[in-house]
Parts: sequence; C-alpha cells; structure tokens
Amino acid sequence: MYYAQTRQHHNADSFHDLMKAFFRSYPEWNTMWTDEGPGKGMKVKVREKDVRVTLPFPGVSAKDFEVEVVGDMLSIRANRTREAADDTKQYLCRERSTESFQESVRLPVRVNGAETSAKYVDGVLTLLIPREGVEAKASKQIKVD
Amino acid sequence: MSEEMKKNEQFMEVLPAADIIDDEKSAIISLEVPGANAQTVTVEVKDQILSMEARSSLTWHGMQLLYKRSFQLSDAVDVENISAKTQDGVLTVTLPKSERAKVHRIQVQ
Repeated sequence: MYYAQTRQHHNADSFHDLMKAFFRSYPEWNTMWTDEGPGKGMKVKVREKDVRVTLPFPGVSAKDFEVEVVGDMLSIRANRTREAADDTKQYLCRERSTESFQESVRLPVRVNGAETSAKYVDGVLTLLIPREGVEAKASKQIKVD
Repeated sequence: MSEEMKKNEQFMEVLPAADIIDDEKSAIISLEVPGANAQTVTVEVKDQILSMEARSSLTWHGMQLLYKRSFQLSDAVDVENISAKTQDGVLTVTLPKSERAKVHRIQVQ
C-alpha cells in the first residue's frame, strides 16, 4: 500500500486533502473524497488500454500547462498568467478563481509516459496516457488442432 | 436549447462562476463553462432577464453538465446590442450601456 503524494497550493493540511490524497491511488473505488463536485477538480480514470485524466481549467491557453509523467507519477501545473493585468478593472462581482493549480498523483497502473497525448479544448485539459503491458494481457484465441 | 433535448437526456444543472466587470461603455460578464463552446451555448434576453445556458462535454455521475445562470438587467443596458463569445471554456457576454447610463463629463466653464 502506498499514499499518493498530493500537493496543492491551498488548504494543503486539511483532512479533506489527506483523504483525497489517499483515495487518489484507488480511482476504481469511486469514492466521494476525490470528487470535488460537478465540473471541478482533476479526474483520473483507468481504462482498458489507457489512463484518461481530465482537468477543467477554463480561461487559459495550452502553453499555461506543464505536464510531466515520471514513472507512474503524474504532475500537472496550470498557471493563470493573464490575471495580473485584470486588477486594474472594476469588478462588480468576482467569483472566478485566480489561483493556479498544481497536483501530483501516483497513477495506480503502470504507464508509458513517453506516449502521453495532451490537448486543451474548450477549457478542459485531457490527457491520454497509454498503459504499459496491456497488450500482453489481451486475450488470445488459441486454435486447437 | 430545445425542450425536446432536455427530455431525452439527463442533465446536471450547475451554477457557473461569474465575473462582472464594469467598464466605461459596457458591463462584461464572464462565466466559466468548461467543456462548452459556441455550438452548445445559448444566450437570450426576455423581459429584461438575461439567461445563459451552456451544455458541457463534462459529466458527473453519468449526467451531462448543464451550466445555467440568469441575471436581471436594468434599463441601463442596451439590449439590442448585447454580444457574446466563447473561448477556452469561458463565455463572455458584453452588455453595452444605454446612452442614458453612460458617464457624461461636463466641462465646467
């Protein structure tokens, strides 16, 4: 058993984050701890041939992301670079987050990090990380003579 | 969005986070609608109420997300010239101020 090493900018010591860090290692358990509500937070889904990671992070561009896969460790950093200039404007209402995002998570399966594909469409970052060694497990029909 | 679609699919309604900026000539509302784009967004004004709906590609417990929010407009908004655009999961609606609501600086002699 191992603990996912999760780091976050805010509330890093809260009990919720501790539970989240633990349950991150077991995405198949589908627990409430890793679920930050609809349309929020990073979601890791282990599929048959790959691991699909989605992160809604609207209002930035592809170059604001730093994604790293080292072994089974996935690190995502998302920066909000344009927010500084907005401080001069007069806000009547300000609800959108100005925080950057950083999270590292240990993936529960072996992956081939070099083959990772990443795209940022409509404010959602989607990563597809192929699993390693799934071909060997694939069923093979053996002909009986 | 048509009523028919609502019946056929199961949606999870979500209140999107909004910023409202007061500019000299207009008010600008920006809403976070990740997973939605120009094809899945509707913006309409009826009886001085601005309603926005955005269907997202994101799901939550098997339900598709539907971002929905509305604002009551004052008559200081020039309703005829409201414009909207989506980019990178942010819906930006520009509400031009009516002539009456604009700041008129008067030169003192």
